[in-house]
Amino acid sequence: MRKSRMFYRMLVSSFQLRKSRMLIALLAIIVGTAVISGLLSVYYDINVKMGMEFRSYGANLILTPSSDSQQNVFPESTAQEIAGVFPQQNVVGYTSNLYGLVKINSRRLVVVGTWFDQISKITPYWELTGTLDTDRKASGTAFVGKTVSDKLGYKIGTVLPLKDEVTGNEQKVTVTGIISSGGTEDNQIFINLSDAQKLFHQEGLANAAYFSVTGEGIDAAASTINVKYPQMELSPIKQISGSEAVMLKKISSLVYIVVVIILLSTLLCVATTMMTMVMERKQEIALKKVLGAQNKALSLEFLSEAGVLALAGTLAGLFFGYFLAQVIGQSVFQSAISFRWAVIPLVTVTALLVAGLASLIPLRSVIGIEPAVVLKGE
Amino acid sequence: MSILEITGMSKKYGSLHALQDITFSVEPGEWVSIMGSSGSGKSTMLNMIGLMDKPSTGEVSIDGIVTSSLSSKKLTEIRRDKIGLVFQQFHLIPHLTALENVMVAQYYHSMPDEKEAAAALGRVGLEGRSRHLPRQLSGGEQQRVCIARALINYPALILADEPTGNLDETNEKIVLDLFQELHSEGHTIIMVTHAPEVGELAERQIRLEYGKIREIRVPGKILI
Repeated sequence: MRKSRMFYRMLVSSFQLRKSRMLIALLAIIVGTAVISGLLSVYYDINVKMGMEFRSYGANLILTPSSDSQQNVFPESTAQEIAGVFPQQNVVGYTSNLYGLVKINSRRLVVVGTWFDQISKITPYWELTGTLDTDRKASGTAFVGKTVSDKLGYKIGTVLPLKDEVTGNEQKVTVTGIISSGGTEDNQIFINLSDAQKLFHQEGLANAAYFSVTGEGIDAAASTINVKYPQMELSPIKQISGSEAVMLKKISSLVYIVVVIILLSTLLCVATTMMTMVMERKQEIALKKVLGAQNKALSLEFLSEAGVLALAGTLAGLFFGYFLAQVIGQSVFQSAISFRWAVIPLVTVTALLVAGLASLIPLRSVIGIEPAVVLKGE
Repeated sequence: MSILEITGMSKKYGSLHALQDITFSVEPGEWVSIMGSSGSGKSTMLNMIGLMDKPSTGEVSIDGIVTSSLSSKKLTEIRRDKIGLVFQQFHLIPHLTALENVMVAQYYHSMPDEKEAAAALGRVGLEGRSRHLPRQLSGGEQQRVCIARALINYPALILADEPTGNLDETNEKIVLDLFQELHSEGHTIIMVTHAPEVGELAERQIRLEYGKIREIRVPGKILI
């Protein structure tokens, strides 16, 4: 018989004899690795998930002419160029806006030219009644803010005669929808950007552009773009991007704390079980020493037992951890959490380290066992 | 050259003198029994000879190797290579079969050899019990497994600590017959016992009292 086979035989029989104790240690490792792998999977996905969640709060970047440029407008093509700087899959949407004052039957109101097709992406939190003509080339339609609608009686179907006092241009638009945002937009009238450009005689120009972008490094990207376009200023909308960063930091801290607590409790449970096993096996260890086992060989036997427990626990823990991640994903983000291969080596190494650390004190006891004392039963 | 040579060996535990100025030697093929009442120092002496403990003063040499200054690692190696131990309580590993219990000694010595281990069990009359766990064996059978384990690495010295102390009369006879056979084959045996009828089987009896050698007797003659 090969030495390795005898080693394996001793290992297996040791597990068979102490099924209940081994099971306790195994369960501790399974629970620990399941929670850790589940949390890590969620943690890896959290940037994406939180990014998507925060995109429902609308745009997180705003582009305006820089304070040095002396201009309050810029070519609308610039917004397209800047959107192209970000990875395409990260750009949820963007729009160029042109603002102006119009007179409607002696009342002055703010009119915003925008791309109707981007409203659901840039301001998904708006409540809209009616229909939007999402064709950018369409002309002659408008939707009005709720306050304007309530105060001035503009309803769906009302025709509004818009007049720019500066250029004297006039255009009639029909109200097709009413929006409610709870903000300044409730006092504004929205028309197609091309209609606004004609009305205010600002063809191809815009005052501001809004971007909704996911992914990391938005601040850094904004800085790069600002260097490349010195006449423009791209700034994160602090309320949104700031909240996102704070929330991510808090969640990261929470994950770290939970992982540390789980590791400590697993460590404690495995160490206690290993210690009990050493106490139960004092005679066996003493006998092996008498038969010629060196401390190194005995330590290897115990570490192998701990290693097998750690690996078996990790295997089951990864399996349960994946399902735990899905439960968290569905209940918190209403979407699945992707499987991350990186979790496997991370959790395996962690479990082996925990099992190894948990064996340290029991190993000291193994080394300290005196055969002469133990085998006399004193 | 003596298999065992003890010179001026003493052992103190605090202020208690467990052994005092012990000197004797054991020649190859000799059977020596160490006798004495409880607390006389028999077990302490066995621990010294078995290299499980170190004397406070004096020397213990096994097969010509002076052991007093050796590390615990080296002492384990000498014990593994030179000494076969038989215990009163058998001390078999409960989750391993009789055969595997014998092979454990081979495992820590060199290489497990199933055929050789089975032959050792056959040598002690346990051919048909090799796959049994210790709990499935009688006390006498367990002690015979213990003897097979002690013999498996061809030790220069067999140390037996009250080997019949836990056995009934029938099994005691089987085990003692086995020791007599081993002796007739030329094995060197040191047996600790408190039973005079067991001690008398040896060629030489060393009687301890309060940690000192009180008497050394060979059949029909008292040497000291």
